[in-house]
Amino acid sequence: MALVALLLLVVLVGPWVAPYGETTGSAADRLMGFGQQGHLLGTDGQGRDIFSRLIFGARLSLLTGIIPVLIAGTIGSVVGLCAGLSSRIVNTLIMRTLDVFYSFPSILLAIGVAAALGPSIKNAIIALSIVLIPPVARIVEAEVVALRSAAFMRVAECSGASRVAIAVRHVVPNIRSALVVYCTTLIGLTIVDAAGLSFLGLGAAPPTAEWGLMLNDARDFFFRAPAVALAPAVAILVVALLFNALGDRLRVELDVRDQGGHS
Amino acid sequence: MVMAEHLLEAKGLTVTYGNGVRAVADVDLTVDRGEIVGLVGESGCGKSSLANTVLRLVKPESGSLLFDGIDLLTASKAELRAIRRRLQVIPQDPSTSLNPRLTIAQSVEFNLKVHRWGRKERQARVLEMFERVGIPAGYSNRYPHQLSGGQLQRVAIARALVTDPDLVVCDEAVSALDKSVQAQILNLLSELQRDLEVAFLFVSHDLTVVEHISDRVMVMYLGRIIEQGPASAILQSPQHPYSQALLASIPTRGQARAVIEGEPPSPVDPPSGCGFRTRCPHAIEACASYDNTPVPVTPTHEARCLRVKELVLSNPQPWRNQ
Repeated sequence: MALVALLLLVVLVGPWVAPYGETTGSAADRLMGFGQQGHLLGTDGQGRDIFSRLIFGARLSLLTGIIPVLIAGTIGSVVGLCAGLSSRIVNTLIMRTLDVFYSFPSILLAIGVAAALGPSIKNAIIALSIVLIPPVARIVEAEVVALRSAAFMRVAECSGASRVAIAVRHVVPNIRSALVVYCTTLIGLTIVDAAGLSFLGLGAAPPTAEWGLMLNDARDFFFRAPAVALAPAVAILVVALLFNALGDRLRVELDVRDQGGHS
Repeated sequence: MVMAEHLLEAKGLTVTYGNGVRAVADVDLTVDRGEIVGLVGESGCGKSSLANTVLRLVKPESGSLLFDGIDLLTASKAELRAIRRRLQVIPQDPSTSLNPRLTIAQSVEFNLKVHRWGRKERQARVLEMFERVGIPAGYSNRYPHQLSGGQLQRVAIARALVTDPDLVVCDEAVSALDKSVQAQILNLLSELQRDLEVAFLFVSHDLTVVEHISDRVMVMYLGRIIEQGPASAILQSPQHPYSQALLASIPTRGQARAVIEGEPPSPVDPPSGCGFRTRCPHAIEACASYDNTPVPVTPTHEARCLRVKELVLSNPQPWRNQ
């Protein structure tokens, strides 16, 4: 929790505390090692301070990690709710369609969609959102189907309430925590995928500071200066793990049995 | 407005599920205003399917179902919605019958919200119902897991009665409770039934529970009502061999209880004629071709047994004291 807060702080105030500019650098300062001349993590192939670029890049990496999850979380939930609450035929129709998308490896599908739309951050976000909708919808649908057999759902049906009213009042509160937990772990995964897209030139365009893009830049000097690639790689890894851990933590915190225990 | 003769009137209801199970077979059922009808039978006999059909959760294959003269099977969505206010349910398991994420007041209020009650009226009405069923007003904002089973069932009762219904289907409403709590809840139900003049269709596998509360009792076996009549008649002089066996299986002090031999036949492929003949000690060849026409015992009491007349004469209670 505290680490995620720290990360968000970096994102928010980073541009003001970063020791150097996002794109400022001089050829004279190329490929410096850790700690040389005040460059904490050295400089990259164009003499730009890696530490500063990491801080600037955090904003973009988090954005491309979180926004697709928010979009897919919303659309996927609605799709999953509809599928879970409708008749067997409609359910099968929706779920099998999603399975078609789900059967592609996620990064491959993202690459395909992003390539089709053309390289830009916006398109990378759209591509990742599309990739994430099926898994979110599947999780939601499974939760809803499990919930349908509960006695209170039968009572709700008998009350004469509309399906939408039942979904809002009785279903959503019961699947909310599972959804939040799942989406949190998805953020970690999506940051990795987003960096992957940028690495392949399908996301952020140079000279923007973005972790995947920084990795791609570092590739050119990998044998001369492997340290340049190290910092963004570790950053991606740590942040991804961080969101996984946050998801696990939320799973414990939001456990149904504890809900309302203190109210 | 012309009042229909019966509050609920079902004729020839048959329910068959996709897997070929014929859960309900040609059932006629009436419930009058303010009447408590008990529906008993062992698990799997179709009583829950019948309850779900009455609640319009399950669509019957054939038959008719009238609620206060309105056909529930052809009613429009709006009509059905209006009827649902007057037709409520108290489910079996109090631990899952309330949404764990809603406070008990929210759960009860939901039933009023559906029928567009204003916020103030809703809250006042919920508190009024809580008082009636014996839930302290201070409990309103508690969650279901903070209440005991008996309290939860009181909340479920409040939820069913909050819309001032005409008929409440109690589906095994006390079966999951301890015996002592069961008695309290049954007393509460009879009390409320008298005060509010509501009718109950009381579904249970437990004859002693039904005996307590019902005016009229129907015994169900393999999807059919095999005997029906006034509660006292059924419990004191059951006519159908199955009803007799069911009564005799209630443990009494100092007596070994009689056990019905064998398992009920599969509802996918029920025996021809009388469904009970495969386990009945009095079965004869003719039972296999019996067309299940009810045989009247008294004007208000009938049994679906070919030999009911001769059996009464020869051996009034063949299952007792064996």
